[in-house]
Amino acid sequence: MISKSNTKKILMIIGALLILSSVLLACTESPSEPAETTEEAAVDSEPVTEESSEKYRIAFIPQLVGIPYFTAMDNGGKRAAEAFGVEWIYEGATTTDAAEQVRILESLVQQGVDAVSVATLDAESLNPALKRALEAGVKAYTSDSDSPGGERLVFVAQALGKDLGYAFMDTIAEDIGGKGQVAIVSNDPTSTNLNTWIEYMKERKEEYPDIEIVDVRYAIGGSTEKAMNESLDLMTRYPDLVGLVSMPCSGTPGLAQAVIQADRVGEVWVTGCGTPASVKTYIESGVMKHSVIWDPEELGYLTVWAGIQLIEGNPFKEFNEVPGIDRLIQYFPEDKTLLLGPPLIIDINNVNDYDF
Amino acid sequence: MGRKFSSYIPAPGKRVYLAIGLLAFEIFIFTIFAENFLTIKNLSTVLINVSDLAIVSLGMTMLLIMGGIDISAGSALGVVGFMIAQLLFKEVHPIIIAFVAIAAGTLIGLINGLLITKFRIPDIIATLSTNSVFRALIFGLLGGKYLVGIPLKFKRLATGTLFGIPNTLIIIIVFFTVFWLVLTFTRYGRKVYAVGDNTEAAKALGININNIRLATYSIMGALIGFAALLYMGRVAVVEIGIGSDLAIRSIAVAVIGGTSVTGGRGSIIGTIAGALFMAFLKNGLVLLGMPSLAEPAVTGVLILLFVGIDVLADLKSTGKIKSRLLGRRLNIVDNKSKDIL
Repeated sequence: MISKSNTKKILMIIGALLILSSVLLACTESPSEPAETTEEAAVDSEPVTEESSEKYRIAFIPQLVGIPYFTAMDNGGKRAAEAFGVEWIYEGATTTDAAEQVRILESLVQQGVDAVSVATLDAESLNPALKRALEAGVKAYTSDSDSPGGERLVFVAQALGKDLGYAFMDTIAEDIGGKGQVAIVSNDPTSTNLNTWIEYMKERKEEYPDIEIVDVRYAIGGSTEKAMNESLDLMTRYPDLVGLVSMPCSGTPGLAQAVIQADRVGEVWVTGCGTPASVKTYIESGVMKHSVIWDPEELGYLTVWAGIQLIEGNPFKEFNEVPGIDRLIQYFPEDKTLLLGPPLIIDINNVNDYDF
Repeated sequence: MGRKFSSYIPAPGKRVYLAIGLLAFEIFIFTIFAENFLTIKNLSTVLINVSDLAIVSLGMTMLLIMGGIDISAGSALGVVGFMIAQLLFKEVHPIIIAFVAIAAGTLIGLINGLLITKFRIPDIIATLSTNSVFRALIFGLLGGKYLVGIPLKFKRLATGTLFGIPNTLIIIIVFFTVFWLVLTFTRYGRKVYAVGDNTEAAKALGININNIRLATYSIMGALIGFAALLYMGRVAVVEIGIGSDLAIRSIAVAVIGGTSVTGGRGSIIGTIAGALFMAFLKNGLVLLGMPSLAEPAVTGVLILLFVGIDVLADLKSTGKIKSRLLGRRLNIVDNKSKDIL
């Protein structure tokens, strides 16, 4: 019999190795997993057309579950599923985990859903999985965050990356009076959408010669506490800093909390992606003047509508009438992108008008 | 019996001096090269932000010495944090909240301890499972929302000063002193070391191993409850990612401080040096202007280096590592052959 203490110590060593490797892996890209099972899935999900009398099953994989932003998308998806008579599946991990996204996508393909959309965390690891999904006959597309270089059928965009990047720059410029040092806090460096916004924000900065973007920090893992710690260090490193901009919605309260802790309210302004409910208290107490958002509920709704069009094989027009959305939805065939609309700027006047 | 436990008082190992030396070296380097590093404001900020990690690392060190581990620490902090937030919204008196938080933490620790002792689930598996359960609980309790605008009743505790000294520094010093005394001079403390070093021998000595385990996991829980108060005082936001890598960071802190992940070896003094090392490292790298993307790599390499030094120091000072490893292997072989026979 192997003694209990030896077994335990071996387990301990394995645990320690896991921990060390995860520390090291934190900075590398998660490799996509080989999935030999997709061939089976292809056989299983073949008779999609024969099942057309049944409800379509449309799945969405958010970047993470449990944050107000994606919860709002989930609600929109549910509303659309009811309106159009389809089944809505919402499945994701509680942290921003690219490998987990791939796993969930593959299991959904195996379950034989009709369409699946993903808010991409890491295009490198997701693209092969998207391709396998398409080969298995599942309508794979992206929503909220695109997967560049992949073969997704369409990207359902909340707002153009350009419009958002410009909006971030314009709001922070207004907050700080058009001059001074600004720093950006993002989350994982692989988040495609956030990187695009940062690029456009920098492009727009050319309009403001007196503003300097001094640093971009990546709070890996996406927790509010990490964004807060990055902001505190940024304020120490750049004592003249006047603006902090959060790209992810989950980081914005952390930036605001950092300014409160450092006792710099009114000197350092915070803006960024933020749902009205999560920035309300900071806008009302004068830590923030604006946040930038779009209607994620409506984005979830549009995601379902797009999925139905893909399943039924209806091509998108340049301007689409979507039942339940009272404006025309534009489609850009060259990027295969469906656009929800312009960004929504939240301030003290409209912060109480929304419930997400 | 009493004399036997208390008369053996180990001097701080070489590894502890090494950790303290490296911390001093790090502070020295950052002071020279990083602007704004050695200012009261920056040092206080770092001490405020490291407080909950330091307190949890203290418990983690005790568990590792005992041959245990707690993967669920971060999620447990999240559950207690959620409770604290709810009580703050209901305007319950802060002292009652503090009591409830510590009691809730202790209960969580006790649950982990019972799973390990009564159901004989290996520590890492038991706490990995409760970690998932607690995380799911936070997810369910939050219902997809953030808790923001939480009353700042614990802000003074976590970010205030006493005679110009950050409260958190005083808290850290008091906690670490008390637990150093407990681990070094009490029978309980010596038993923790004994259980971690050689469980079978500890049993043979008549130590009730399960009681020691239950007590240490409960203490860890109580520390997590207190750390949650500090966390709510400085962050004041509860979201799904709360404490998501606290367990891993606190294990790293303990290892940097010279605690062995295989049990039986480690020191509270090393852990405080490890906690401060990690906190100043993160802060100093930003102040040096290290690009954000290079940072995790630097941290990872430094931790590997530390563990490497650990092994080398062991080899040099005692020359025992080879024989120890060999001995363990022989022991396994021996046991296996017994099985076959």
